[in-house]
Amino acid sequence: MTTSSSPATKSAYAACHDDAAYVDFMVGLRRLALGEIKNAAVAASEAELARRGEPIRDVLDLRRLLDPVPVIALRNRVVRSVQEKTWRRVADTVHGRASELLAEIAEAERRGPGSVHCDPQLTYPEYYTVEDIHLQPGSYYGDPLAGAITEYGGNVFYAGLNLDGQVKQASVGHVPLPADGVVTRVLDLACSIGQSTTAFKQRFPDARVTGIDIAAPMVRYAHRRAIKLGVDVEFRQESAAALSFPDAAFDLVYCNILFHEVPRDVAERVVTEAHRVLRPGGVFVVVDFANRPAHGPMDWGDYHRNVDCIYNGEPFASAFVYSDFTTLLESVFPVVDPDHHLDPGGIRLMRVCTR
Amino acid sequence: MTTPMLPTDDPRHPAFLDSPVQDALVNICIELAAELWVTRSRLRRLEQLVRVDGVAATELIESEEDPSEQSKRAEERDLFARRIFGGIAAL
Ligand SMILES: C[S@@+](CC[C@H](N)C(=O)[O-])C[C@H]1O[C@@H](n2cnc3c(N)ncnc32)[C@H](O)[C@@H]1O
Repeated sequence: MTTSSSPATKSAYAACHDDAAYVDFMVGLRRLALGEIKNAAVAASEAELARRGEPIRDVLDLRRLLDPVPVIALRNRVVRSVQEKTWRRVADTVHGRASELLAEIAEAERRGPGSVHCDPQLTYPEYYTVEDIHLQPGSYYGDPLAGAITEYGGNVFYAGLNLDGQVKQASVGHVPLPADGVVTRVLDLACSIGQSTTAFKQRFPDARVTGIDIAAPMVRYAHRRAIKLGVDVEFRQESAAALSFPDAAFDLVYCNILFHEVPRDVAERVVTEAHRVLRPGGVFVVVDFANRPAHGPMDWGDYHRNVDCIYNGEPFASAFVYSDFTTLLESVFPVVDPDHHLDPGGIRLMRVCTR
Repeated sequence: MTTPMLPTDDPRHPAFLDSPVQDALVNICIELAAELWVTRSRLRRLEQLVRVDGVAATELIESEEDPSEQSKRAEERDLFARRIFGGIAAL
């Protein structure tokens, strides 16, 4: 695994040295959990499956087989504990800086570069509020400082490699251009704190780049972050399933890891909307999990997905992973490249659709 | 389709190990390790900052301690061990 840095002093996110060091410890433990411990768990699962001989086709049978294996049980425990403890300390330290951060966000709202527009009429859909996604307290919307919490805690989730959005930037670097090479208008769907959005503007400085997200705290924080970077992008609070933009308004529409967090009917509406707002020849680029066969012989990947969905606040990821998402894209777009790029960890897959 | 779950799955109160006690103990160990790291990080930072007569604290720590300090430390060490593990003898 690539090395991440370990800050000795307080980071730009923590209120004090001790909070920064505590969160930094969680980065270290998560790196171990995703590296050596995971490798040992995978080896143990392969050994168990080989010992059993017959393939497993039901994920609950797989759970019954692998849950009691010591290294796997302990791995599950550690991953969950790291997640809980990270969010708790991150939320505490961010709240310790609440007045300063809230003032900065409010001040940023009144100036550029770029802009932010929130929709006070918007009500969050039911699917969105059933669970705290990834166990983040208050999820993406329930805490006015959710943006700062997502940024700092999310970096632990990415094992210390995304503090400045580097993981998102790398994905944006793999996005292909429309065939005619014209990119003047870019839309980033479910942009969260705008790490991909700003990366697009940096890649296409002459384009007009817009990021939308359904959560007000996300777009507010995204704008404050973009201002700090001096990047001119526009953020709007709206649903990707009901966009405010006219038909054929964009050359490129991007959507990074939204689809596994929404139910199928919402996914269908998002794909239709992406198609509508793209001009002919424009591309819709989706980064998300690869699909798996629903009843294929199961392995560690299936086990991990099930445990992660249940114990890491992912209510819709299981349905997404075992769905035919590529078929959905093909039902709306004439041309779909189902595996344009797979990230080095083998988790996130880039699919490219041409209008 | 929702996520398939075992009857024993409880997303709010996960029990991954053989007993709730074991789950709690691992949680405690992680908490202690995190706090130990916090302390180490703080100490290291202090050592980098503190100098006595121009000598860095990091170097001073490695210098010989005078013998009276050493015997005081030995007493403290024994007390420390007894405070933490003394309960074993009471079983
Ligand atoms: C995993 S994050 C996305 C990360 C982001 N795309 C990036 O590259 O950094 C998922 C985001 O989807 C947003 N979201 C969920 N449902 C949405 C919807 N219907 N429309 C727009 N955003 C939505 C959430 O608020 C959250 O910020």
